[in-house]
Amino acid sequence: MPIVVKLDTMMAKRRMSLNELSERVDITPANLSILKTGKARAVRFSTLEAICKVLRCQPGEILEYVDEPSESKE
Amino acid sequence: MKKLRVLLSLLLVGFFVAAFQFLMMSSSDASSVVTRASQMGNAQSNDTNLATKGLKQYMFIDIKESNLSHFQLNGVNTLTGDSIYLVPTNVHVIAPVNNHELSFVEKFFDKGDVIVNCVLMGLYVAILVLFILLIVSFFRTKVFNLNNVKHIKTVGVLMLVAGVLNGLWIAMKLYVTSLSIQLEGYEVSYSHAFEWGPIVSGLVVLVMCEVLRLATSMKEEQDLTI
Repeated sequence: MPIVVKLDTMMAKRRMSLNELSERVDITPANLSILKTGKARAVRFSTLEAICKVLRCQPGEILEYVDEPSESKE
Repeated sequence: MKKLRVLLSLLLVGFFVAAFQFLMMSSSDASSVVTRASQMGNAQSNDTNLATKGLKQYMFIDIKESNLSHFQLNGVNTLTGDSIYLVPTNVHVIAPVNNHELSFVEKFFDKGDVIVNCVLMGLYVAILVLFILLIVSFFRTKVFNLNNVKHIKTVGVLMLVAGVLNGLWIAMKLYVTSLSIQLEGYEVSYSHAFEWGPIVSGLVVLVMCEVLRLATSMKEEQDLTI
């Protein structure tokens, strides 16, 4: 997926553990782990809002669009 | 979920009842045919060994009358007292075996009947096994599962294959039978050669499978939405 989740970078900047973030955002550590490892298919605005609020950042600092090389180039 | 389980249980019971009925009917048909054949053999001629000598038993043949003038009023409507025509449409033909050597086609159909029936039985057993696996999975509340989708798809394909194979085989046998049997006043009818029940059921199952596949992918997406 060309959308990369940079949650770990922001968590490291804020020196916040996964468990602490999950408690403060009120989502399970398992779901937060899915988001962190890039396995999530979608993120609710409410979840994004809560994460941005806790980590004091913008959505663009957590999500990044990376252009994937097309198959023909490979 | 409870409704689904109840429906599946009813379906399984229905499957077993249908299989039991099929087995009972086929065995009773076979025994009655043999009894009737031996009676016919005894009554028809002084040669009481006709039945033991050998009777060529053909399949149930759908026939339709080619000429009604051939028939006589052979029944009575007891309500009105009127005479009526009774015209058979599905008959079981039993003929004495001739001394002539069986042709290749006759041999092929004699042996092929056993093979096709074995294949069909295998297909139905496979469907039953897959069905039981599905029910077990559903009872464990794993409805939206890719394995279930695969099983349902296989069940649909097997039902289609069984329906088409059975239909083709019956049509071929009817054709070959019509080459060796010519009944006065009747002609062989192909209208019931194909049983559309299993074919339509197979298609319905495949459609349901596609719906379940879509639902499974939506559920997966839902599960991965944080």
